[in-house]
Amino acid sequence: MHGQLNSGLDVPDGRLALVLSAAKEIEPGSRAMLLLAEGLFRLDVVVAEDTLRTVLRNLSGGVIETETTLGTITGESILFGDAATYEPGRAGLGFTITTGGDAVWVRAMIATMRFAARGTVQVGAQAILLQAPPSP
Amino acid sequence: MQPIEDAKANFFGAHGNVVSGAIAPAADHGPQTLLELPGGRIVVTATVDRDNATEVTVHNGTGIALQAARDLDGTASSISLPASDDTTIPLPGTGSSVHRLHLQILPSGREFPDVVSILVTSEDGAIAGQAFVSET
Repeated sequence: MHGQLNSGLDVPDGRLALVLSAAKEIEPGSRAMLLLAEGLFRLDVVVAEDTLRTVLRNLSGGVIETETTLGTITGESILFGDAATYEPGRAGLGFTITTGGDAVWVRAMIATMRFAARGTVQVGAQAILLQAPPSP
Repeated sequence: MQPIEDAKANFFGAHGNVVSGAIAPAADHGPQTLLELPGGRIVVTATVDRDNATEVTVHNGTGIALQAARDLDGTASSISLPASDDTTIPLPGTGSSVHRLHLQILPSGREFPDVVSILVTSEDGAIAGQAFVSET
């Protein structure tokens, strides 16, 4: 397991911004907590054959709205050396958490590597959380 | 379908790359590139010595020191990656045969605007890595 790391990000207008990253190496079919944002959400993953399923648990007491637009993270997948033998994959996930008049936007990149010799799959993620600007 | 809100869709993290690498360096044959981030600003190499001890080196190719959070086999700390220089991280030579390094490198102004998480897993001289690069 790669432990979760959390760091604050400087945003010019002073809004709250965080980066969370972690990874878990799991056996196919088992479920694992990948990311935890205390008081906001918990992201679990399940790997089954060639499918990655995410389970988003709302810890905020508010509303979580998943959004195709936020989950669309453009970019490349770049391989070095023998990376292809680990069958790397990637996915994106985006959602908004709204509690009262406050909202937080979350955008996560998720990536996988298969460790065939150990019969496991490593699922890693980096999520950026940004406080939404106040409603006009 | 709800209209897309530009401010929400375009917050940072909308573009991101995933870099995957895997190597099995021959003992005492010098460093081999595991991961290179787009633009070459961060390059991760690894070496294995004849005792199977592994060292991971992170080259910061920018002109500024970068702050990073680190987790090595479950022990978290903060480190600084000096400008235009290498930072070498020896992986433990004892305990489990599997070792895991997790770095979270934070953005710093225009010279390094990205949020980067790097995951490295080493087992008996076989080294796999994955990096998430979110543009801010």
